[in-house]
Amino acid sequence: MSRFWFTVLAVTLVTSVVMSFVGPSKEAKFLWDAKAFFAVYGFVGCVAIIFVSKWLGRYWLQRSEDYYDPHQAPAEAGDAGEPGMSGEAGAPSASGGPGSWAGPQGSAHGEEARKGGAQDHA
Amino acid sequence: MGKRLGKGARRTMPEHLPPFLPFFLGALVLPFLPRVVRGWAFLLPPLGVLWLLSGLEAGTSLSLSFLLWEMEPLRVDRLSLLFGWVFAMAAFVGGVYALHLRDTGQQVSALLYAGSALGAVFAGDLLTLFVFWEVMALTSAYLVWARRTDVSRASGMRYIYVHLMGGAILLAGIVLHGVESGSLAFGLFETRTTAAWLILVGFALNAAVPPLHAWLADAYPEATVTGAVFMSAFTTKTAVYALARGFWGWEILVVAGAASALVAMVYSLITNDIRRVLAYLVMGQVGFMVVGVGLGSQMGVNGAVAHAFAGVLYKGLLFMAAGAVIHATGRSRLSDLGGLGRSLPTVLPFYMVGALGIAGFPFFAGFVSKGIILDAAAYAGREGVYLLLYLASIGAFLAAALRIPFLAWGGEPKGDEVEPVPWNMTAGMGIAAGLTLFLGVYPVPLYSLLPFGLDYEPYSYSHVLKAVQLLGFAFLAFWIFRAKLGGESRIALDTDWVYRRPARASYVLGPEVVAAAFGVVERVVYGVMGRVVQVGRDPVGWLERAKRVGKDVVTSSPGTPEGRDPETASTSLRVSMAAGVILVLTALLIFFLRIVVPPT
Repeated sequence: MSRFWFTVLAVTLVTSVVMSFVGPSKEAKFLWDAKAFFAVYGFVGCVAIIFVSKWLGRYWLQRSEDYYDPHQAPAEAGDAGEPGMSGEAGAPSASGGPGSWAGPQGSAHGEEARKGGAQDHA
Repeated sequence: MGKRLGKGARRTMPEHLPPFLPFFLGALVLPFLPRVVRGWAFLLPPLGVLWLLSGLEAGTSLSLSFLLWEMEPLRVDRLSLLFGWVFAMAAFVGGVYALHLRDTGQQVSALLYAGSALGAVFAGDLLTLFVFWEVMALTSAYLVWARRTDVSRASGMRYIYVHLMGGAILLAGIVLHGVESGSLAFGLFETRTTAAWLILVGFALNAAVPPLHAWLADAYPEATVTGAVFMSAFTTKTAVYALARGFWGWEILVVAGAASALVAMVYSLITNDIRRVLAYLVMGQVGFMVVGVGLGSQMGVNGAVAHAFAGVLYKGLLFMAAGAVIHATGRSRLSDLGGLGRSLPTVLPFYMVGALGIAGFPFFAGFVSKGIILDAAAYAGREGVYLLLYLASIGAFLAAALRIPFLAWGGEPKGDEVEPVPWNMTAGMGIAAGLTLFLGVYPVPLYSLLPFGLDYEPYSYSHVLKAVQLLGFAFLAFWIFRAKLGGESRIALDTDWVYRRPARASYVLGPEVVAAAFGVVERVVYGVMGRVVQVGRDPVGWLERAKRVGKDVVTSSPGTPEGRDPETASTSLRVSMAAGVILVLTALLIFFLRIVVPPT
């Protein structure tokens, strides 16, 4: 983020919090009528969502792409770890999770199928 | 159910054509038109439907007797009209987006799909609803198969099986309900009978309520680029309509809808395929609508159908933009996308309109419709649900408006060739984006379509401030932890595990075990038969040969290690003869015991 946009964001956030203190206030009927409740909720909620989702994905839900049909997947190494934003790719449970049939194979078939399909779709 | 919903004055007006008729006529005529005009001809049925709808009034009804039952293939009230309008608009926008398409099968099935969705919405009785419901499942499955890859073929097969199962449950409920109550009229189910529960399960499956939701994220990403746009509009929204009419105020829907929103939120952040993320977002938004229906207040139903209306527009827009990305790059996995800001910048504004719409950003349609549901939850005293839905809003913002744009349009380019996006795709996105913005800024036309009167001001000081704080600070959190949200080339297991994972086990248990068993039987039978034939050809000679074997061995090669031991040979002969005798004796004994001495 450039300095300009960072400033815009900071000003927006600070203004929104200040406005909830100086603006018209109604009597606090619910928990969320507290001042700047949604600022806190937005930040904490977002952090919680990111970490809980990632944790569930890593330790329970995510498997290698040939999980459902290991027959058709030609082995291709080095497909698991993508550089860039995903700093955590290639987790240990990628292809050896509990009860996984798939050996440490790659996952080229999905990509090929998608590529082929995307050409003739429409 | 309220006065305006369901119990309007019924008149039989045969001069009114059912509004779904143009779609079916169009599907009939389209294959006979020249190939080049089919894309344009596709746009006529939706326009015809819009024209018919403008002449329809709430309260119109068309009934006929079928066998012993009073059927009502056309029942118009404010609830069905609203869905009629948005379905016709969605079909038109989808038609513009698919103008370049040269695939008659897809065009015809899309028309039939839209027509049956309309038919389901205007069905006044459960049997008519069921028929359209099933046609919808079949025609939409074709839009998955039309991609013509192995993956889409398998996915479409699972899709159709799941929906046929849901349809079977629905039909069971309908039949049971008809027998119990003596009527097939489709109205609010007031009592919690078994029949009503079965029908509810049938509807909930189409509304992607957990744990019956996995078909959605399984099939939508595998559909064709244009097919997914239609699919995102009709199936789940028809289910929301059916729930709103039949199960208005059923408490369990509040829980189910909130669960939907939360499950979808988690998956939308760990899924890699761009349209699979969108499919989970659809599921989450439908969860909002299901909550609105379950709350049981007029405001809740208003919010649910308003959210369905707005959702058809901005979710269609999201699928269109994602489809444009797939069309241009040939890639759909977020881990394979990147740097589109340089190669495909024109799609981003349209995508962002849809994404901010789904996030409930001020001046976008979702801000208004989601606000109605949330306020209805607060008024109903459902504070936990209120907070969970706001959490799900953060999740939708995070997945749709931050994660996908940053992964697909940000970062470094991956892969070089980018095909140009046809003008009509851009036009389709433009129409949907315009409507999303229009309804966000000026929601009065939407209000006037709602089934109940609504007094709701979305642009109150506190509501706007809430949204700005919530989304602003969510953005801050995203920016700090953005490295966590990358696309990983892995899949996320969902409840379709239940029927996908055992596929291999059942293959082992089925074909492989059976084949092995047949192999053993075959070897045994061939061995025995060969022996029998050999013996039967010349039994006396065989006996002599068997004797001679012993003698020959004794005389010619006494003690040679490779010769058969005479003792063993004759012993085996004796043993087998003895066994035969014993067998015959046993059989005689059993025969004697069973027949001569009958059991008492």
